[in-house]
Amino acid sequence: MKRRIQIVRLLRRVRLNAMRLLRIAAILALVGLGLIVWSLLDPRPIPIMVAMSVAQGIGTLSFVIFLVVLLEDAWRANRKRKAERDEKEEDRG
Amino acid sequence: MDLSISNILVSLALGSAAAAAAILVWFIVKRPPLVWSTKIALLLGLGVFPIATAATGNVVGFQHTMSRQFCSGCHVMEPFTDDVADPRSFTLAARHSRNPSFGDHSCYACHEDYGMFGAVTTKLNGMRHVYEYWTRFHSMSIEEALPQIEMFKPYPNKNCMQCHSTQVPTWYRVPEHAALDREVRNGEVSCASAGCHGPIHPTTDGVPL
Repeated sequence: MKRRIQIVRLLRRVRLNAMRLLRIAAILALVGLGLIVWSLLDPRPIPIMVAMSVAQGIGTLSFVIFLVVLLEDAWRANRKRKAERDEKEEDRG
Repeated sequence: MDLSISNILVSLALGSAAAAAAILVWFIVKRPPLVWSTKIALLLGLGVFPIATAATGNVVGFQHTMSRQFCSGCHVMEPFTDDVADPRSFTLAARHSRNPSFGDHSCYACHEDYGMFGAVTTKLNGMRHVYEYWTRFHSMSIEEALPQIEMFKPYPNKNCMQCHSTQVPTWYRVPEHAALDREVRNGEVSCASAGCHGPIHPTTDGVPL
């Protein structure tokens, strides 16, 4: 939990909010896709090896960023719902 | 239009890459709020379509790494690949390459390791070839490189025996086969030895290049 808070603080400090992270993920995915398309249109050893290694890594990183943002968003929404529910229960009490 | 499996896979990969790119460019340019519809669009643009592109691209790439054209991508391999493509050549490699079972994949067909993990070990060896090429041979002329090109390990007779069973009576009728039966089977004598069936490729000290 402590580490998680530290990561969130770090992301805030470098101004990496969800939308900015998703834009980075989108740009990374476009780069990865470009490398794969290069290997398909120009099937020589270097493009093929780059597509099967570097492009895969870049693509995986962009998808992981997307999943992290989704999880973070879901976690935040869940926390908000929980806080609202607690508030309502307090009001009733 | 040639409707081979490879062309269909290339079309699929390009199609899914285009679909992913369209979604991603829309997201970067329009900057929509992070609502459910945006999340689903991004799941397609960052997940489904890129994974489809990578999967089909990998299959196509892997198929291409088996082709002779891929091997000739390193300039020092050209004397070997040119020889096997020469219809007038009588080297063992050229004669095998004229067989449609070997055809355009003749390099891979003969140099592939057999066994359960043959494809994996072949590709790992291939990576070693790439390393050697970029660290040693890349800056050399073909004439400089040829005397230094050598196999990492002796060519295994097992690879020949995948097609040539060596169990038929006609094989034993050749006196050298009968005399060297044990040595051939345990790899002490190579089928590709000079004077037997070698040299397989044109060499600097054998068949002129």
